[in-house]
Formats: sequence, structure tokens, C-alpha cells
Amino acid sequence: MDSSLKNLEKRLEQLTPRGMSDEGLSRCEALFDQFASEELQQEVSSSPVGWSWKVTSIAAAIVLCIGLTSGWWLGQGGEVAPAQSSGADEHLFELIGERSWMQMDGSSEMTLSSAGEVLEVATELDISEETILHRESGNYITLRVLTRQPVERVTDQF
Amino acid sequence: MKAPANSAKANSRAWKEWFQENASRLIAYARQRSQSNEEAEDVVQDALVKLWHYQEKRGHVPPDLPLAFSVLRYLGLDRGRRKGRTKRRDQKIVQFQIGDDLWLDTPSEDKEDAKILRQEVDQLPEKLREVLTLKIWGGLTFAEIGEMLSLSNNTAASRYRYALEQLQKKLKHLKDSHHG
Repeated sequence: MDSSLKNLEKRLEQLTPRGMSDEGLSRCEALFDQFASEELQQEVSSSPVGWSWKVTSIAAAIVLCIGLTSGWWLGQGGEVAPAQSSGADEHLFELIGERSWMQMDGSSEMTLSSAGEVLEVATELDISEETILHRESGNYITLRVLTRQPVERVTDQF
Repeated sequence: MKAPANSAKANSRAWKEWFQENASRLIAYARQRSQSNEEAEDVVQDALVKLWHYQEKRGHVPPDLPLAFSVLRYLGLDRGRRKGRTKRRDQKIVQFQIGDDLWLDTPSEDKEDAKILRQEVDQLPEKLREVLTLKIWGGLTFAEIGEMLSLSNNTAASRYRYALEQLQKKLKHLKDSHHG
């Protein structure tokens, strides 16, 4: 690049872009605070127990195996009456606790509808959890059932 | 391990610092596809929301600038498509009448020349102005610009050089017509 172009480059660098208005800056600052509080909420709601998803899924697989071999899950070829099967369940397993909660799965996306509305599209996760004691082994097993469902709502928070 | 509250606060602080450092760069780029400062600020705000979600997998650390510019570009293009050409043209006419919709400030000395230069930057074709803006006021390298705009490094560098040459030619022409 010749010197005249370099000189022009320097002159351009002396033009400074205008920053944001005070109002715009304060809106963005408020946005960061909002992000932080959402992050905090998410972290709190996503760690109700210390077990990882991996451990939970292994536990679910174990309980399923035990259940299948003992005839608890599917019954035994339909020959066992439901009442008897239920009795066996109660003997083999003891329900220690159960709970359920909902949380957002991942981040939401903003889209524009054909009607010109801004839609926030997210996936809601319905989690129900049961903790069961396998009497024979003394193992505690946690079963989690996840149900995902898309949620769409009109928003002006963007 | 950091407590969730501390981590969230630290992230918020890091984003604020990042934004203070880069707000004028982001606004300058957003202005390239917006018809007013207010609109550019809206685009920047939308981009921040998107960027925050993009960075979720990276522990919510502030993004690097090329990513921020890419998101701004996408949102700017999207917004432009939605508004339609007619509306944009109408707005441009209104703004020319107001004459106070500038995105670059001139240094106090050499003010007249700087004003002409600023005007000529605005008149550059969009493709050239975009590369010039990203290089001079965005602080990106040609490699980053190329990656962002899906161009080769050489094409990005050529566009930049061509933008400078066009500006120089116009300034020379203006100077000659003043003297002659």
C-alpha cells in the first residue's frame, strides 16, 4: 500500500464511531443483570440432587433389569394376576420418595411469526423422580422420567 | 468450585466490562444496516441476547468480537429483509432531511476535511464500507473478516484496498473542483 493510502487510513482512524446513548447503555447493563439472575435460577433448579444424569440413567437401567427379572415391570407372560404382582413389588421395593418439577431445556430462541409477533420458543422439561429402595441388595435407585414439550409464547422481552 | 451466585455475578461483571470496551465498535457496525442510531441500538441489544445464549455452552464467558459481528450481521440482514426496501428508502429520505444522523465523530482539528471524509465513507458501496468498518473501527484482521463474510483473506484485503482507493479518488476530485 502506498504512502497516500496509508495516510488516508490514518485519517480514517481519527474518525471515531459514536458510542451508545446513555439510555441504550443502561438498557444493556440491565440486560446483563437479568442474564445473571436467570443463570442463577437455572443453576439452582438444575441441581436439586448431587447425582449426575449419567449416574441416574445407570440407576434407571439397573432398576429396569431388576424389575424385568423379577416380573415387576411387565408381569410374567400375563399369567400372574396384577394383585399378586403388586404384592411382590411391595416386597422387593420400597418407595422412599417421589417429586416432580419443571425446568427449561436449553436456551429459548426468538422467532418472528407471520403476524409480526416476536415469539419465544423454548422446550419445557417435566421431570418426575422416584427414589426406591431395593430391599434385597439395600441399594437406593432413582428413576427419572423426562417429558419434553415445546412452548411458544409472545414476548416483548428481547 | 464457585458458588452459583458468585459465578453469575462474575459473568455479569465480565459482560459489562466486555461491552464497555466494545460498545462503540458494535454500534458502528450495526449502523451499517440500520437507518438510525436507535435502530442500531435495538439490533445490538437483540444481538446481546442471542450471544448470551450462544455462550451458554462456554460457561457464559463474553464472546469474541468476530462472533459478535456475525450475529449483528445476521440480525441486521434479517431486520432489513423484514422492513422491506420501500420503507427503508422512505426513512432514508426523512433522515437526510433531518441531517443529524451520523455515526462517526470528527476530530476537532482538520474538521472540514474530516467531515467530507465521513460523508464519503457513507457513500461507499455497502460491500466496501462493511469491510472498511470491520477493519478500521471493528479492529478485525482480514482473516477474521474473511471468515465472517465467507470470503477469502485476499478478497477481504482487496475490498479494503479498493474502498481506500475509491475514497482517495473522490477526495482528490473534490479538492480539484474546489481549486479549479
